[in-house]
Amino acid sequence: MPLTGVLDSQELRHSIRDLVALSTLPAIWKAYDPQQIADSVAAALLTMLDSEIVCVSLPRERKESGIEITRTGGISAESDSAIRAALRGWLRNGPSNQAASVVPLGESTLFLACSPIGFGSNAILVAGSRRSDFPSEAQRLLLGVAANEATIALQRWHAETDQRRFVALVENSSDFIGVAGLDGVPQYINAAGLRLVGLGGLADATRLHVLDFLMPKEVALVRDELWPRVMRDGRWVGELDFRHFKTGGAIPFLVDWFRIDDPRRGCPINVATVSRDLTAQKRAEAEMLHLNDTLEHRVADRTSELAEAHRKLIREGRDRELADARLQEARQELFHAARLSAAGQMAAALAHELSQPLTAAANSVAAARRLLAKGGEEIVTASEVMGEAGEQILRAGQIMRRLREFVSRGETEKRVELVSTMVEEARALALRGPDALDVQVRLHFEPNARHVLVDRIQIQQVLVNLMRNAIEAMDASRRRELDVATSLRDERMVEIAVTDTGPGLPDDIAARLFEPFVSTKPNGMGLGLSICRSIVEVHGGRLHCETNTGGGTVFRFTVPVAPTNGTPNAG
Amino acid sequence: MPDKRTVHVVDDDAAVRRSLERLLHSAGYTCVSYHSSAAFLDAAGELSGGCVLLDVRMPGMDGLELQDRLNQLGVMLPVIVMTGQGDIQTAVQAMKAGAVDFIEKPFDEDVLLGAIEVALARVDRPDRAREATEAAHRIAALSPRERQVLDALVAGRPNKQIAFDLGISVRTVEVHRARMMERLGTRQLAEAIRLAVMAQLVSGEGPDGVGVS
Repeated sequence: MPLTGVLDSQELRHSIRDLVALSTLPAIWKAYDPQQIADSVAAALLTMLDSEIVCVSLPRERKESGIEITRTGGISAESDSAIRAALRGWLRNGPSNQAASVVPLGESTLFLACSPIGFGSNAILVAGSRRSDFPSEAQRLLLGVAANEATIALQRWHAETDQRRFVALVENSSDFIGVAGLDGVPQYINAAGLRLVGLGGLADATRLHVLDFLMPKEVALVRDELWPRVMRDGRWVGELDFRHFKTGGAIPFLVDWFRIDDPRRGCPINVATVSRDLTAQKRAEAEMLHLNDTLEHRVADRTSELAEAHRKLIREGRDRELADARLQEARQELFHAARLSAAGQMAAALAHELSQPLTAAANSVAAARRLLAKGGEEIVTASEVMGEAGEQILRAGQIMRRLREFVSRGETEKRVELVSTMVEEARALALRGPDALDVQVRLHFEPNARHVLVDRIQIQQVLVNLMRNAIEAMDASRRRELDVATSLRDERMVEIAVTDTGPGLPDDIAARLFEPFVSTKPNGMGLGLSICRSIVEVHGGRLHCETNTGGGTVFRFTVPVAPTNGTPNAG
Repeated sequence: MPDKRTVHVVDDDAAVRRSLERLLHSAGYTCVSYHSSAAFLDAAGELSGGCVLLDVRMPGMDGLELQDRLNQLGVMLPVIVMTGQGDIQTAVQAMKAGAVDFIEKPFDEDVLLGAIEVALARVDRPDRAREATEAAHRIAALSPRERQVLDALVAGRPNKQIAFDLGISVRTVEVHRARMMERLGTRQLAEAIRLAVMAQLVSGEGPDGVGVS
């Protein structure tokens, strides 16, 4: 910048003196905050520039520049607003170096000179005077130097503030924070760190080595592996046990170790750590672990108890199922066997019955052929004999039909049936067998109870069963009389009573008579009466037994009366 | 002597009696029928010849009992027993009781008439010993397995059970059975059984499961 005026020696001496004075200010400002720095620079400039007003604007927290105006007595406060307006223009548009302005001030004029503080910041330093030669080159120079000095001071203040914040942060942290040289000697350890490991002060620490802070078992690992790794990779995070210097006890730490490099040269200068004491956490974890363990144990115990109970239940269930299945199976087999043996006996009886007409028919046909071969009068006889053969074949057919009806066990098919026919057919079946030969059978049919609505085959099974039981019961009896009598119980039911003259039922058997598998017979399976009762009950009737007054037993069962308009089924 | 050609039919079934009368008359025999064992026993003392065609299954006294009674009374008429189909046990019992033969109802007229001819030819008490010896010879020609199958059949066991007892398959039983029949020269099981029973009468040893009564 060229000087427009020539400085005389006097002026030059003053300028040098002022510059020296300005250069001493920063030493004073070290302890000053920004406001104090601004006041200081303003006061210095008023004297040095022989100016009447100095304004300092510094950035505030609200981002609006506060303007500090320092003045001598010559300028009244009323001019402030005009001055501020000029300053705002500079601040708004960005202050250019060495900018100057003129502010009218009543009868006189105020000449202003401006210099920015900082680098492109919104802070300015302004000085003003009513003298028309203001500012001279020397004055501009001094203003600029002062602004630079203030800039440096303010920046240093900001840097120091940041540093103080960090220091406070580190000092107040509850974590172990330390910095060591590359040789492993601690340079700094925060208060919490010293306390945690039982050291009295930083001086104690700086006589030690990083490895001294570790439990012996960790030393080799850190020395040979972790420290080199931090140096190589820049960081290591993990758990290590520190040693308490007073008690010698282990302190678990989560260690974050990192390398600090010189920002300019990039080479490592320090190794630092921020490590967290895990004692409380470990204890909590241990407690939690213990709790978990005991809880797990308790849960495991309880679980195994439950599992055992469950297994037991399943086992019992399975056993019971098996037992049930076995019982069911046995019952099925017995039912099957009973049906088979009943059917087998029935089939044998009917097969014999069938063989009779077949034998007769075969004989007759053979005879007829012989007669036909003889010719003559014998042909008439042959015709007769053939007729007899035909009859026997039809008889066989009827027997077959009966067999089929007896063997087929279809759904209950109720029809109107004649009681007398049913009973007589049942008697014919029941009386087969040598034991029935000298049994005296009497049938009595009530005239008012002729028709019933039943499944004939099933009710005949009941009748045959009861009659067979009666006959077998009388095996050893002197008097062997079997009575079957029907009677009208009410308008709905017909009762059929089967009475024998056997020895009667023993009390223990009578009580359980209709239960399956109860029998008085040496080879009886005890299913007959149980099946009989089921059949009768399916018909809506009842089956029960009582002692015959004349000795023996009476079995009575009821079946429904056929509707009066029903027609009997030809059976 | 008309009695020599007389067949005494004992059967409780009227139709069977009637048809036998018709058939036997047409075949040239004299036929006298009785509706029960008791009725025949009443007349048995007077009889001098012929044979007896006896139904085993009758109410009252059955055929086997009647045989016993006839043996006790010394009535020496040859007896042919009519059994139910497959009723081997009864047939074996009848043979042991002295029946000359048994036929299964319903029967072929040739079987019937053949049996009657054989029976009538031995009216004077046939030489059972000779017949039995011959039967024993034929039985002896059987392989052990065939003999086992025959004995089991005589005992009235079904093929299935024989197979189980011998630890062989039903099919194998059938093969043994067919070969056994062939070797004995019999076409019907009844004949084979008759031979077996006759053979037992010689040896005096009962087949497995059947005691000599």
